[in-house]
Amino acid sequence: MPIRRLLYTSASCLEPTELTVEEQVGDIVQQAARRNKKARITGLLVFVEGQFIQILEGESTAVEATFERICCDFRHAQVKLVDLVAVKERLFASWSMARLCESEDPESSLDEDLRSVRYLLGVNARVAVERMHEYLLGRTEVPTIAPVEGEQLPG
Amino acid sequence: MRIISCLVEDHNIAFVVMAALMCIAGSMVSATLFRRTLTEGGTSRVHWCFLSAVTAGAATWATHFIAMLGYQPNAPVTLDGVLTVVSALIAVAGIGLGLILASVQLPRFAPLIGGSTIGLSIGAMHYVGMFAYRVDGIVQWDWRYVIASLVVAMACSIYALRLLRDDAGHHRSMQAGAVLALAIVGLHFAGMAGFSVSAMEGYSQGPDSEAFAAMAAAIGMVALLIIGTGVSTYLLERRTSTEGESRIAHIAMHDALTNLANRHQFTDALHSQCAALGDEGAPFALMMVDLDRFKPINDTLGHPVGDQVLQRIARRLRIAVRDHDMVARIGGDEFAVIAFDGMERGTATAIAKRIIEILARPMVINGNVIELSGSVGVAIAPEHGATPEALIQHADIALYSAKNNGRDTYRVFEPMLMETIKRRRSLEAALRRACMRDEFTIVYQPVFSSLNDEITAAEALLRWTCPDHGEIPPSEFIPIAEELGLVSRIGADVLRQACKDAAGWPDHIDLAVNVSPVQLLDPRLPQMVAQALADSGLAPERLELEITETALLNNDEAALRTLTQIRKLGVSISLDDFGTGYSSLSYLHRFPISRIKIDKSFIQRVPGDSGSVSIVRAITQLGSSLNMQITAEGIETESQLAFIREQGCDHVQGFLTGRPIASADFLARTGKRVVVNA
Repeated sequence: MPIRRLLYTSASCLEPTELTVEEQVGDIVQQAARRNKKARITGLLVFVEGQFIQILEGESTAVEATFERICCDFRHAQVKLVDLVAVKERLFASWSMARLCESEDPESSLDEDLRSVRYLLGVNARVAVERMHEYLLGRTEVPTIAPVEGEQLPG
Repeated sequence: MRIISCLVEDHNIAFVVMAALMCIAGSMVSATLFRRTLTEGGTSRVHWCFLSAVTAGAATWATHFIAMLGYQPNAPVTLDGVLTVVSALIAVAGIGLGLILASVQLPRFAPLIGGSTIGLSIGAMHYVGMFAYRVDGIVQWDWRYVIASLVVAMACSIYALRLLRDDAGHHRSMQAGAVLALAIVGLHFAGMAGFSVSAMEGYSQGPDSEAFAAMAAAIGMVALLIIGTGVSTYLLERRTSTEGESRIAHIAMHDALTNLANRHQFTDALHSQCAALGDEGAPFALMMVDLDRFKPINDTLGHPVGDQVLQRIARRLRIAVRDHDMVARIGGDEFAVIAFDGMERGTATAIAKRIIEILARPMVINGNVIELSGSVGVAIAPEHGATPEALIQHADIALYSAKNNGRDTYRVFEPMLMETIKRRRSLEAALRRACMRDEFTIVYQPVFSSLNDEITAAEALLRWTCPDHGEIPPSEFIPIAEELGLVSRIGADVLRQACKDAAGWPDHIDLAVNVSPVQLLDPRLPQMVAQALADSGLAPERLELEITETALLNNDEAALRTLTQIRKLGVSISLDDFGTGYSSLSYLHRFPISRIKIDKSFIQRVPGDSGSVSIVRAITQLGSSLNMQITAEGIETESQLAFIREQGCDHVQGFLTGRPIASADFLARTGKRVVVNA
């Protein structure tokens, strides 16, 4: 079964409730990870400056169904499909849905990286994906910042 | 009198009551089953016939037998087992035969033959049963009663079948059941009235009532079981067919592809909502939703994908509206939403916004990325109309206006839109007429060299004076002409006429003619240009075609082919309105473009606006490095002219230097220098 990778961006419509926007994003990621595990989807969600950047990897039908569900969600707007490619192997095989968020430290180098990824996306999506993958790996190796949320896929 | 006394005096009343209950229950069930048998066809008629015969036979036989057990002849009684069983079989077989005969295709005779058979078989069952009933006494038969009993049974059966055949209504089967009961009761008691027993001397023992009571109860129970089976079979079958009917009702009310409400259900709902308005019903909104760019999906990706798109659109629409709102599919790619109760303008527009938003989101099907959008027209009842017709018309007008507003948007109806549409319709008609009558005129705007202020060329501009609406600017009528498919024809006329006019001008004055994006897609354009040149005798080097960037977008391969062919004729190509569209530098070197015309929106902001200044500067530098001529359009003031000259634009054009004028006036002006209007 060929694997497809889909990348989209969207603008968050989340408003702080009793939960902060970041906590709500955390909940969304957890829910997504649970669902994705069943559909054998892996990927990453980046939340930076009120913008979502999400990567979905999996079998064609699963990716399409997941993306359709995402498109039916009114918690975000301006959904833009940036890239859809067939790939040989998963880049995020170990994550049902990994998450990269801005930290509270405005000087954090990760924040700068994430912001630069936003602009890189418009120029070269493939490179942007690799860059995000590197940031994710970089973060897992330096757990002092914050542990990455998401679950390991069995098998 | 004999019959009544027989009933009252010779029978045990408890048995009579039991027999009567059996008779009534049995007859009602039998009539219902008969009706079912008569309305069925094919093999299921045989099954129903069997079921009816067994049920009705058992019921009549049990009635007879219980009543017989209640008969008190004051003489010892025994029963012949074989004959008793035979009598039951006669009833079943006879009724079955009667039903088959009653369902033959002879409306007049069928009930007659079938009814007689049923009546006779009940009679036969009764009298065979009587033979099985052995009384130790002197038995006497009164044949008149026997014949009367048979006549009653037959007449009642015929009547019952006629009732059932004529009209299959439910109350008819109740009536028929009563008539059948009468047949059985009449037969039994008339028959019994003709039967008398005188006890022989020495025997005065009555029937063994205890044993008979037990037997009667047993028979009654078995008969009731049979009847019960008949009833439950009937009910089960009826429920299955009711389920079938409700499924059919669902199919009738829903769109098969999307499972949304269909046009039929939508119309019903709209009518009932409008009717409720009169009784202080709550306001509601009607929204017409139309997909933009759906047709190409069917054409390019095929109908199966198109169908999947529609299914997803349906799901998305359901998500965009509130749970109790109705979403209907009323045409191929047309949907309608009825947003019920508590409807304020704000709520309606919020729903419309959600619809627009969700429809504009991308869709991936079988690896194809599909980008659609939707337009929505909203009408609110009762504000915009209280009848279905008015609401639909007004929502459609709002939709039409949303589509004309660039699509991917919604519009709420307002009376002003009616005027817009009226004007549009009348312009459409006038435009068609204008095409036939050559109502268009061409004016020429002089183009000057910025170096020596001499006229170097003229741009042909189309003018149309509508008899009803006066002068209509091209920006208004050209899009209508494009939609009506008239633009190629108008364009060809303009080109021909302009070439003819220009052929009469001095040789050093060139001609520029605009070509619309639609014309550019027409593969016959190069040939048409060549024809116009040949007919007029104008040198190809003097003609320049102006195209816009929009025309190159999406169709650049086809456009490139056409433009290259035109360039080969010797005609030059210029890029009009540069800077406003999707200005892409790649166009400039891929296409055979020899001139850039800077859009007037920039020229009009120089020299004051620094942004525009740098854009104009950049374009002129770009032009000189790519070896292209530059024209500045829309010059209206001296300071603009001065700035443009400074930048080194090759040519200038605008109201300041010269307004568009008729060909003859233009000819008079050629050779003159720039006349600055004071």
